[in-house]
Amino acid sequence: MTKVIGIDLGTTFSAIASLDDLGNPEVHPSIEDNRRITASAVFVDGKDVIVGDKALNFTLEKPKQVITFAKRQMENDVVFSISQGNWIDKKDGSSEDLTPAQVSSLILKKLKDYTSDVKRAVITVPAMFAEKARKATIEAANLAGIEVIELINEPTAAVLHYASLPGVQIGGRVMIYDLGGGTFDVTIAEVKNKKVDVITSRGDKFLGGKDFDNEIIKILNKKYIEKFSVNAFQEYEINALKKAEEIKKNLSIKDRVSATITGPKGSLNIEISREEFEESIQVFIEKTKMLIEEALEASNMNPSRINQILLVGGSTRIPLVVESIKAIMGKPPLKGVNVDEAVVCGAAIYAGLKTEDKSLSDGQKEKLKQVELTDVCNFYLGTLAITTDPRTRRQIVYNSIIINRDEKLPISVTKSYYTTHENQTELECTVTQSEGPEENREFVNLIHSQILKLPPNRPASQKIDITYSYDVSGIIHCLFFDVDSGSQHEIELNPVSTKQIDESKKIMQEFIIE
Amino acid sequence: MVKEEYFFDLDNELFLNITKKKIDQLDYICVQGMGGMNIEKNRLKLSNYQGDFVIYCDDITENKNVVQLETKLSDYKDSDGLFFLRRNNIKIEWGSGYFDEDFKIIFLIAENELVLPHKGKRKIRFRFYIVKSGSVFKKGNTSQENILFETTAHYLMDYNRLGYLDKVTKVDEIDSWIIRLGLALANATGSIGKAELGKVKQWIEDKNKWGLNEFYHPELLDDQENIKKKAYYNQLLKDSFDKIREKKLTLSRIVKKINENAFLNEKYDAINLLLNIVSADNKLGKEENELLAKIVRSLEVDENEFNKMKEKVIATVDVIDEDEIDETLFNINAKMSKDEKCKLLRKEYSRWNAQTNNSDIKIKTRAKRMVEIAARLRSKYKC
Repeated sequence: MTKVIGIDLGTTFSAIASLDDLGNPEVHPSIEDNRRITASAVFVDGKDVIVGDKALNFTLEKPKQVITFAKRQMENDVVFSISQGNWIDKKDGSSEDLTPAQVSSLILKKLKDYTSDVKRAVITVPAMFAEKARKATIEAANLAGIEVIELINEPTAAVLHYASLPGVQIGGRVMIYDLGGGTFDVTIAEVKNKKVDVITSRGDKFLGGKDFDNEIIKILNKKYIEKFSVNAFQEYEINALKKAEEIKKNLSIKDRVSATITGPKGSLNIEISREEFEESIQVFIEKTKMLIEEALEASNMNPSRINQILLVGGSTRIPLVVESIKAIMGKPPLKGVNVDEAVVCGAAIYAGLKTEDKSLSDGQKEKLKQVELTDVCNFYLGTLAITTDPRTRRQIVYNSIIINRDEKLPISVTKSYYTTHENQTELECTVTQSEGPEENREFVNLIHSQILKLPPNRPASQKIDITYSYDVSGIIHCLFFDVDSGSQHEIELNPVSTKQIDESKKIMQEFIIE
Repeated sequence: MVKEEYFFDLDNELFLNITKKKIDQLDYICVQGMGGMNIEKNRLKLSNYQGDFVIYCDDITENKNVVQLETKLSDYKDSDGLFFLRRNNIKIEWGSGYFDEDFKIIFLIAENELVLPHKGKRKIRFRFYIVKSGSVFKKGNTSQENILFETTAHYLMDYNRLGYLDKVTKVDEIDSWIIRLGLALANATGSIGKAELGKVKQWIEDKNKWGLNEFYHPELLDDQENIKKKAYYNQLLKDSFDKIREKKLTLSRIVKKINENAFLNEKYDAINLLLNIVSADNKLGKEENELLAKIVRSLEVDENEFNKMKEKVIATVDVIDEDEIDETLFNINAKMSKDEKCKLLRKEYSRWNAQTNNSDIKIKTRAKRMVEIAARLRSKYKC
């Protein structure tokens, strides 16, 4: 029987889980230290690589060779330069530098070793992950020798886990507040028994525990400067972040924390109060509040209509986070659940749902029997068309939306367009993606563009039907159809090309992971 | 025998129906047909079983004074500058037509492309012809011999722009005031930079569909009208610049003139120019931003629409004095209640947060800053 695997590829921590024979998710601990979550950190020394918590031990000695937060770079054309110890533009990089997908593949390879028979898996991504970042995640998995069954949004995975938990009564309209190490997502879903209907998701890809740690660095620097007139650390300095994280964790249980900081001018004992810390992260909390408001508005709800609030992610342990949720929602979030493992457990359950019946044990089949999931499209999908600017009446190229955000998946929509001029022999078939209902072409991402040849000598206004279909596995099918001639351009927007992966795979095989 | 020569009796003859259709945000005029194309069999044979479909439009509001419609789009302009639609060499079988139960679209015309002679509620006659292939039309008409089939339909249109016969004085006048407004804004710092002047010229070029090359090298233009226009705009730029520099022309007077004469779309076109000018140097400073906001308020346009237009600029320029212009970046003003400010900031946050996914690194970086500023202001207002 194939193992049913779910992987949480997080910004700061990652985890792997499988379904046991009874259909319960089981998180696999690290072989070395038996921890159930592994730091998403990679230490690179030539072709020797150390992944996980041990990699962070090199932050003092060889900080430039420690790579962290690769997930935040998944959508960017960057590489990690070992010589500079930083993410740099891909075109400025050398052959030794690693892309975010390559770094992530090393983490996935490490997780793969925690259990046997990892061939296929469901991998989680933030709800707001752009198409490019999703592709990079699939590329990372392929490089690690894992076939991606599907990607699932992190909060969706979490609610699936909560809905399947024995002894926990989850039902009605549920809000999932997912504040992890690097990203924040808020999702509203309808849960009935084990049936989960996602209504909407909103998120910020640059908001997480890492940013809170950096605020602590700023406080430490401020106090160090008062004494020595120089900074103790650089912002987001990896070594300092480790220290800051320790202080942050302590501030979640204590009112004051003291730490000895060693900077360029020597050591200093610095005390930080919870009040100072909370003041420093106020802007981030404000962002989470705005996203909650947005999610409520998008789902036509007010706080009183939300029955339960579920927490996901380590940063939800911060008391101010819980207080702010209470203040907005008028009720406290549900307590007593494992905020670190909800996502990976949900991914394993979803992997079970996506696995053929014949590959599941009777226990797994029984457990998954009533589990159902309906997700939504997290982006607007559109095409570039010509129109007259209704404001200025000048001709402009604008983004015409075909599939709206929050539409239930699967969905298929056809919209008709018309050629603009006589003897038009080409049609630029473009596919755009945006988080907002954008009309400005500059504000949308072009995820596909190709020319479709049209027959000559025809008048203007030839009908072109464009059909977009978005299936439950997040694959977008697009069809541009010239009704009169029958010419068409069809594409499926999914993983990166095999050739690209093969080349990258060769490079990655040379690494020896500890 | 007539009955043998024609496939249908006149009751079944092609009937045109003109309706308005909204596609996306744009209004289209939909020319639909139902019924047969009653063409004499022999004539059809002589024209090799093919013909050209042609449409011309007339404004017949004043019965005694029929005026033909024009267009600004070259694809729909005939050699006399009149609006027309034409499909060439359409295969026509004897007895063919549109026999579905519903009307079938023959032509689709973007309403905005039609230029009517006068503003207001107008009665438009659509003349539909099937003519022998290659038939020539002069002043919107062709010889009766060329016509295989013809029919007409009427359409009532509410035209809210100035007509081309109205514009003789007014449109040119408004354009000139918009240009003056641009120059006045560009001169706000005391001198007009090359980049800013370039934006004004670009605006004129777009307006007149000229190439920049032609603008700088009028000798390349052989069209007399364009040469005249070019000379006119050059003189206008020079005169306006002198007047502004000598303080004979003030911003408030220019805005007053525009408010008196311009339609809303022309005001937005003016704002388009202003935004291009303030971003010409890829920077947006405090004074520039405040002055722009002041002008826009005086132009009495919808501030939400202005904000949308401004976003494009903010996304791609460096905002200088950022800490000092937080509020004005989002067009927050002292008159707003706390609730209004909080709501506006949340909207702005959502809008910019969506752009942190943008593949354009410049927009993405700016979006991250805007998200920070919006959150900081919300904290400040204790939303």
